[in-house]
Amino acid sequence: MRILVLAALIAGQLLAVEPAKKLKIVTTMQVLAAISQEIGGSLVELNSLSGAAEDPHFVKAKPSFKKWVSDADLFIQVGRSLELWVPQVISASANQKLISGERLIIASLNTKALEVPNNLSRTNGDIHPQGNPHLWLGPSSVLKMADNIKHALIKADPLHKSSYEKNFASFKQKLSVEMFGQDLVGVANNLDLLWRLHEGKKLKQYALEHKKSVGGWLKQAELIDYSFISYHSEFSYLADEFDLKIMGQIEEKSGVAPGLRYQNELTKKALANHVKHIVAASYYTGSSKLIDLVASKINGQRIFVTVDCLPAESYLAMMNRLLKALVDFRAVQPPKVK
Amino acid sequence: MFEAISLMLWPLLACFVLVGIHVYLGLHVIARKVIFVDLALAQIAGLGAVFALFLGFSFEHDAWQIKLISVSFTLVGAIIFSLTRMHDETIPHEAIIGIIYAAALSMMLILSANLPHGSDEVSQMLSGSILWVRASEVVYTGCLYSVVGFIHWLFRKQFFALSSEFALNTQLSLHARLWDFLFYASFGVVVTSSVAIGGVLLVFGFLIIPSVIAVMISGNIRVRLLIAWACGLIASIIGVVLSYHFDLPSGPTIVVVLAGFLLIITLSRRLKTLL
Repeated sequence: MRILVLAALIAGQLLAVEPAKKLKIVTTMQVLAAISQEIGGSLVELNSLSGAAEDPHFVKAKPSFKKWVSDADLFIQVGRSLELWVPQVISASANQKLISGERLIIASLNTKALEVPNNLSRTNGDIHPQGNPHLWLGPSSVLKMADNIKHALIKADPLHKSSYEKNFASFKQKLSVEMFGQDLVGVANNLDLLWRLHEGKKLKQYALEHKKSVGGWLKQAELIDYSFISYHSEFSYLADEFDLKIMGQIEEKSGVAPGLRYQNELTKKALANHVKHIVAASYYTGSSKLIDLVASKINGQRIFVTVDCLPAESYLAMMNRLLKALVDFRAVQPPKVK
Repeated sequence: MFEAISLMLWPLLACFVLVGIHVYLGLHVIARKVIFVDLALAQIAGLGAVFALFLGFSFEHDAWQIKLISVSFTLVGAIIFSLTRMHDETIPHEAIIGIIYAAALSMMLILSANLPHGSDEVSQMLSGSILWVRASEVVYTGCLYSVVGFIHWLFRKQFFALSSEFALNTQLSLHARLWDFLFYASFGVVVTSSVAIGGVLLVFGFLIIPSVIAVMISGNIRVRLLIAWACGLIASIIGVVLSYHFDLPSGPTIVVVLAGFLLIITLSRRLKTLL
């Protein structure tokens, strides 16, 4: 009898605990957390090691961060040498699941890589031998990242495979509608086809053939008619997918502030091409003196935009915010030359 | 409770290792009046690491080569420090230390301007944070410092005689300069490893603050050492507990606690003389 009661108690405990047990995921950036949230839904618990206004190249040392990493079932990073601090953090956490590499997910796997250096000699200076790591502003890359995350979640929690697949499909649908517009998604009735056409730059032709127009972000981005100078290389994938024109970069090399000669060349080129806009990620406000200096030399203007998801901001909301900021920036009048 | 221990145990043990050696070295540093020598040596080590990167080694794959070059630079620094001490103080040794610091930092900035990683990133990689310390690092460093500590204990007469000679401003013989070199060399190796674990701030804090407190309280070297060790250990424990409880960065919290200790002791002594 006593055993029965005990068994019933244990069973009750197990049943009571079961639904509350979520997959604990730690990400290096908010945007990865936001994408994982789309795929994981209520089955996952997410924490990000850097906030939206923080440079993902570095990590803070707060005890709560260490706790997250120690308890994590899954650790998701962008990869491509963006977060060089990850090995240190993981081995300090003593979390065997992560140390073995089994639950350490590199979200950028098999995504398109821009700016891969031809010459792999490190002295010539490319911090990222596998190419530019700031790929989350390119929706095609994000779709592939979401797919990678989906596979990782299924592997870690195969019981909920169907939920993850369903969530991924719905994210893909939402992302496609935002990207191409409802019209085009409706007429194509095949999301993969649209993404393939987009990648091959044949989407407009396809839209014409079907007497529809391209909508969504792609249409919105057409309003960004100016070329601009960026501070670091965060906007390359955005420019690649939305045909934006980036004339140059204030940094001489990745992570290296420009020398005088380079600055002069940059401003000369900007003046010759009438480039008057500078766009920088918000974590470079520390360099605003330098950025303002360049802006004044080219009689231009600058904006800081947050290139990561704000707390509780979805990926789609982030992209909408970013594109709107860039479209609005078009109207900003540079100061008159005295 | 268990969670706090599992998260903070290795950082705390790392603090103990750092306190053990730096408090002792700090007493020497204060006797010699070379307060900023640790920053200068850390900077020279940093310059060595940047030079290694410049040669084409990478942090990800060639960790020990970088370490080797960095330690070699530190040894050169030790030679310079042991040679540049003048017997008359027309040019204070602190001036030379400051110049070496500035020169090393400037060379590092120039070299890193042509490197893939900017100087910020390089400094970040050289400078650890006590919270993210690895268990293996703590054990390895503990062993290394035990050896250094043992050598210093073995030759304690020579080392302490040398440091008090500094206070007397006597002419140094070649023999003394050799011991001096040994002091700076061991100091350089220790500082470089410590900065890699705890960062510049924490290492500086452990080196100077407990020793200053001890010097204020006692004139006896043995008592000073015990007081300074006790301060360092207690501040580490309080700092780590506060850091965990309020979710603050551990290194800076410990330094603030140490500074708090110093403030309380200074004020209480002032109060005593007034009463």
